[in-house]
Amino acid sequence: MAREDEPVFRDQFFRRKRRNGEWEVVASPTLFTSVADTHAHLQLLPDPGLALARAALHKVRFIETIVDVWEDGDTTFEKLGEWKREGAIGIRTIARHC
Amino acid sequence: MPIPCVPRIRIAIGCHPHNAAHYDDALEARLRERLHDENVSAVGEIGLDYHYDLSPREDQREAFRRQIRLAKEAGLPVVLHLREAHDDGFAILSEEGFPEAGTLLHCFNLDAAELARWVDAGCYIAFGGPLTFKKADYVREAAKLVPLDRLLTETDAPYMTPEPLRGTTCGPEHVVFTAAKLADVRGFEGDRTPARWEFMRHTLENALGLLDREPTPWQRGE
Repeated sequence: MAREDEPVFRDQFFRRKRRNGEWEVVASPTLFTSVADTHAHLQLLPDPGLALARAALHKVRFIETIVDVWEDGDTTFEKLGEWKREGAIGIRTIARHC
Repeated sequence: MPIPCVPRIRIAIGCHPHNAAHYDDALEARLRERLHDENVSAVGEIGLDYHYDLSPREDQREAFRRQIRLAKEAGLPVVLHLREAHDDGFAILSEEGFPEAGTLLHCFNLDAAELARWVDAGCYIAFGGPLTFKKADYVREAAKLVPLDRLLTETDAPYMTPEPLRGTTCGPEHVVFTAAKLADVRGFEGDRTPARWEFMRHTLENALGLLDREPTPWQRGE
């Protein structure tokens, strides 16, 4: 569910769009401890594996992902393991370029 | 830099109030089956949404009641979605009884006056993007009042992106902006202060204690 004109950047940086259409990097807070995201909809993200990699690199240690029993189907239950594997690969790929 | 691990992930499953019109015995049976999955640690998001009213309000209230009862039977906490419906939501929870396993009020974006009864009822309060929004001083004032052992951070990804990134897709990593703002609001400013680290560690421990729980006997079929 990425916004239509928003590219997927395969790195750890945060970006926002400038008026001239370019995407500028935004500095992120420096955390020295881990944090939790207690409410995310992983299956609605454009690339859940990449999201997990980025989260790990920003010290997110725990995620509670939300599933709607009526409209979300079985995707999260079926894909969670795959997303984790992709996340583990993504962490190494991105960290290599840090 | 040491290579970090993939975050620990658990699942909350429930029927969102938008879909309450579809909550019947068959859907509840599907929910019951899914709640037995060892990755599931909460029932949610459930509640009432009188802003969009995508399901009739009576259906919302009935689905909410039934899922509270199910959560209590399963021994699981509930994750609440309440929008412009806090009076009815609180009344239903009071009538049904707040689950012993815990109640998490998701995406708190109201003021200290509304916060008080939820804190008094023992709820966990989760702050996301709205805590960072420029015109949300009242949310930040409320965040100062939540007991440390009841504070949580969240994103609602892909929605509710925090400042200064509003207008872009939110991911779970965006929680760092909210966590940093929450620490600032609580008076722990300065990245390198041990008190700030300790504060953030508390919010993480709160999340792990509430949501990264062992499967309940009900979930194990005992």
